[in-house]
Amino acid sequence: MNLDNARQAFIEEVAELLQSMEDALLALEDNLQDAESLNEVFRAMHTIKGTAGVFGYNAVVEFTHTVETLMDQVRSGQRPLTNPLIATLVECRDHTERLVEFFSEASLEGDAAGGGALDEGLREAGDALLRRLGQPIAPTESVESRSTDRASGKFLPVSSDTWMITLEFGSDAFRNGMDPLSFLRYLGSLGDLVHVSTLLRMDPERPEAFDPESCYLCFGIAFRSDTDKATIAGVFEFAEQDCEIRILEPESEQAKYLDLLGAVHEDQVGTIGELLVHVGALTRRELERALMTQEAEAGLQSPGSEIRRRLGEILVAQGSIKPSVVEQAAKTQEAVRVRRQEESHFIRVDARRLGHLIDLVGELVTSSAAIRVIVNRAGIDDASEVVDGVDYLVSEIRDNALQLRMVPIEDCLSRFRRVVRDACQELGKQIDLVITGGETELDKTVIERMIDPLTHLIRNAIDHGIETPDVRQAAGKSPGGTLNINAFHDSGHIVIEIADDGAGLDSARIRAKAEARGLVKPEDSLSEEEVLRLIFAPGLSTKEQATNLSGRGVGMDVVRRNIEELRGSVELESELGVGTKITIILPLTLAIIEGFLVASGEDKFIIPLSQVVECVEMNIESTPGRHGNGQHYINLRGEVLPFIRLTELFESRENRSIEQRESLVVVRFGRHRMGLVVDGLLGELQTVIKPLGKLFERLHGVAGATILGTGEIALILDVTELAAVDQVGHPSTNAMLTTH
Amino acid sequence: MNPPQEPLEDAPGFVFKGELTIYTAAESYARLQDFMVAHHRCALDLSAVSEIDCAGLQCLLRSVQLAEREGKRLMLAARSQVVDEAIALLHLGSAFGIDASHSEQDAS
Repeated sequence: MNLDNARQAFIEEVAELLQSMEDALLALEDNLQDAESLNEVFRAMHTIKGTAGVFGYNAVVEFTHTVETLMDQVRSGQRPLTNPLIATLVECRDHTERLVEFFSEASLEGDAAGGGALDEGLREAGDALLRRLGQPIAPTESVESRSTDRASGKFLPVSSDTWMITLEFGSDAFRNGMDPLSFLRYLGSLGDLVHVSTLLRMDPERPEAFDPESCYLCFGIAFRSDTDKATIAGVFEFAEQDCEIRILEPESEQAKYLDLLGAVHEDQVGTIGELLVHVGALTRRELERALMTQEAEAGLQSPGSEIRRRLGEILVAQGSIKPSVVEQAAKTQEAVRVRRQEESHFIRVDARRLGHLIDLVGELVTSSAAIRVIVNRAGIDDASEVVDGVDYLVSEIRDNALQLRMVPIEDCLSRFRRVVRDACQELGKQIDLVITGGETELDKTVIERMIDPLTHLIRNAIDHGIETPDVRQAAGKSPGGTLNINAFHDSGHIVIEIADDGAGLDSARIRAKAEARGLVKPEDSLSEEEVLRLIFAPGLSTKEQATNLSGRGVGMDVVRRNIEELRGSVELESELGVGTKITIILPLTLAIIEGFLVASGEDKFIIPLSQVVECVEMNIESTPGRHGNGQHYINLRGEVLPFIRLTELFESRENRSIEQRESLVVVRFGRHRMGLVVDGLLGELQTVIKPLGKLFERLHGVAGATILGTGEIALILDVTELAAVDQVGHPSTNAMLTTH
Repeated sequence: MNPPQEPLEDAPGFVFKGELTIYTAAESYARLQDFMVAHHRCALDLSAVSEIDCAGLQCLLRSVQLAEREGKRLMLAARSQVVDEAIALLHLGSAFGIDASHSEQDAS
């Protein structure tokens, strides 16, 4: 395999492992007893150590080894797990990330050795962390000597304890030409016979009976060696028939089995017995013997009996293996079974391939619309039926293709747990992050582009929103604040709500600030909501003091722009002293939407169908004039509805005949409703969104363009922006419409 | 355990020669038992044992245990290298009342 590819895979794997380690650590913070998470942390460090060793990133190996050792102590109960320790472990996780980054960058720069000079600062940081862990720091010199060990594939520290072997020879052993002495002699050649206790096992019924030619010997052997179980068992291979052999691995060996069992590739997971043989915890003969016992026992029982001893129990009873190893094997088996069921439903696909597929589907949608136009024009009835079928299929394909890119928003939201946790520690606040609706699906590209704005909003909530515990208590609130992130689907959009129960926004201060910056004039009358929206204007930050967390120059205006680039909108509700809720509404996908085609003058426009509420005929008599501040409004069933005449907005036709029939399309965005007055309603249409390109980047009110079946181009309207555009000059928005 | 400082010279000697293995075990054991019936103490001379196996060792072990049980004393006063080596391998030194340092030097 290409080493660069391998390295890339390594970096990706490390990222995944570190992520799961982080999740596990955060879970541990909530529940110190969570053994599964503890194992997860251990496994992450262990696996990173192993793979880093392959690439010769010795510093990573050294560091992760120390952390792993510590985790092992914690796991075995030698070290208590405390919250400060977890905090340090989180930092260790970050340090590992930095180390891996360092090496991956070094290797990019052609430092093939990789394990070359480690940045001095990085080494010191690592040593400082290890000191806090209370672990000895590996001296720098040892790197060389240890790396030679590593070359021979020994990552595990040499065992300090011993194998326990018991041999009980059958009484006919001597007569069968067996001499236990020769076995022990051979065993002695493989390692160190630390201790041998030789016993005469006399018949308890007749203790005086002794036949010199019968064998009464049994041995308990403490054996120290680096060999594996299979080799040791091989020593006694010829004694099988006449000897009861039990080989128990030393503690270190056992730990190795546990690790191996945890890391067994799932293809190799078969029966529990095979699994144990695979990691070397069990020899094949031991397994066969246990299987025979199991069969024999099954034979003794009545056929209908369900009571069948499990293989693991037999193995333990047989003394072939320690219970903990069987337990871990059973766990691995179970985990793989579950994972297999899950994984068989998933395929990893290159995102570019998916993107290409969706582009093609977009073209297909356009072509199929073109066919429909031609068929209609030619008036071929038979063909029209076929086209209907094709249309149906195309829309199905489109929906399915788009579905492929949908991922649960959970993946994106869960990273904020860390953000919240770190911020809490830094600011001395207690904040509980509650995420609901994480299973809500959203286009992956949208999710990726939402991470920055969401991070900013969440940091804002932590930093400016939620108060410190004493301030909260003074205000009669519970000391711990709550940050709610909620996601759900709503009419073709996804809604993400970020709500805190913090201090809320002070509209008076915002207003004062905006006036000071010249964003509003003192005489302007603004609604409460409009004032709040001022924080989305550039250059307005209410916090006097910029902290580390937020206020680094990336303001709420950038957040709004990011969201709007995704054809989304953001709303704000806040009550002073009670909290703030920010609602982000995003389209589900960026590629294809159901559109509603309307005609206005010479031009055709698409309105996202999900936003269309109803269409009514525009009553010419009731057509009102302009409102004082330049807005149209209409009385729709007793409700005041502002509306925009598209022909006026886009200046697409100067001389409008008054008799021309007009229709009113009522659209909604968030909680608002608005009317769009158009000349003709042309029906629903699958719309492939084409971006307008750099030239029209600053164009507001238009989300993109699409090609109609006739080859014409129709602009896709962005209803939310249109509403803002209609209020040109209004201080809460600085949107300017620049028509072509 | 019997005190090792007791002089061995005055204990009646018993000599095994040649093989002390499964092939001779029955006969050797019987001879030794017969001898022990008549004696309270025995200094076993194994210096001429050319070959020993577990069956032989088992005989010795059993004999030592029986002697102990009867309050008698059976000592492995002299041993050939093969005997020492086998005893060292099975860590039987203490069972035979031989001090560890002696057996260790022959241990491989």
